[in-house]
Amino acid sequence: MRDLAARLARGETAAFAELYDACANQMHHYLVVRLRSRDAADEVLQETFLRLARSHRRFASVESPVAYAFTVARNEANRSHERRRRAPHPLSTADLFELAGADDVALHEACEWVAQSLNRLTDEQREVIELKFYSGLTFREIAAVTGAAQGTIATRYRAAIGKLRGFLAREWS
Amino acid sequence: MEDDLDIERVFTAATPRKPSAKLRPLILDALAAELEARRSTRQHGWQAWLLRAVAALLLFSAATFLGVDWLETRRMARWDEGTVVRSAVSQVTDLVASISDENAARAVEQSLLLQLRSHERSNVAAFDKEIESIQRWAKEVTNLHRNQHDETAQKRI
Repeated sequence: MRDLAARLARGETAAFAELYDACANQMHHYLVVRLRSRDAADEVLQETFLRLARSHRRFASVESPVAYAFTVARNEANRSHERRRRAPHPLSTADLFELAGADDVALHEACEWVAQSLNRLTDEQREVIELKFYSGLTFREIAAVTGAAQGTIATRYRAAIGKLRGFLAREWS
Repeated sequence: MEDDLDIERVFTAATPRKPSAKLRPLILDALAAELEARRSTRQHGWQAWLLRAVAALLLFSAATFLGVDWLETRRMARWDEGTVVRSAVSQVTDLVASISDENAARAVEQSLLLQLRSHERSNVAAFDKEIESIQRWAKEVTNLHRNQHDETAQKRI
């Protein structure tokens, strides 16, 4: 990772392609959850990588290039959100998950439940769950991305899990 | 803990939808263009810096040359004026020696040179005034001497 950071800091195009392959899918999903629009997520993903290229020297002082890329993506998403100023509409299962070709009813139900559950969480809890489960970031990295303390992230995570457990229990009953 | 695992299992069972495959080349091409543009800007920036450095060096050289030339001209002018004044002083000294005696001439010469030296240190333009005053004084002394000579000749006649 340090080697990738050094190559990114030098502005190597191949290193940026590597970074894209390492985190673009997860980042795009995170942006869809945050912006509630696939089109907006496409746009912000492109903006994020352009911004990373413009300030590529900053990678020299970065511990985790992926976490730094997520930080930039989050800032870009906030900027895009301010520009749009649209009332948020609920996350749809089709926007978030691969459903095409999946005949498994249980899988469909699971996707449906996750989408609904994400909608019922607060923005902060949803962000922690998204970054933990789908982006694969550690609490430390999530703290760096969101600018919150690691303890706060852990508390948000526990609260989100508690809520999800309640939803799941209600669903089973 | 088991509930956590259940929730994690449900979450991970749902496969996140990927971005469109068309997005990758689009983003990477834009990114490569951006990096290339930055590289060439940096190169142009380096060239502009070099040009500015050369221009500054030329300006500095021209300014130094003009400065040294001005100082040298001033020094030469001082030297020339000094020579002119000194020749005027020696004329006056000779006159005084012819009117009076050698000791009086030396005293006048010393006094004039002392005044000249103080003028040289303070003001170059003062040389002109000094020359004029010495020459005027020399003319007056010569005229006086001539008048005295004429009077003496007339008395003799």
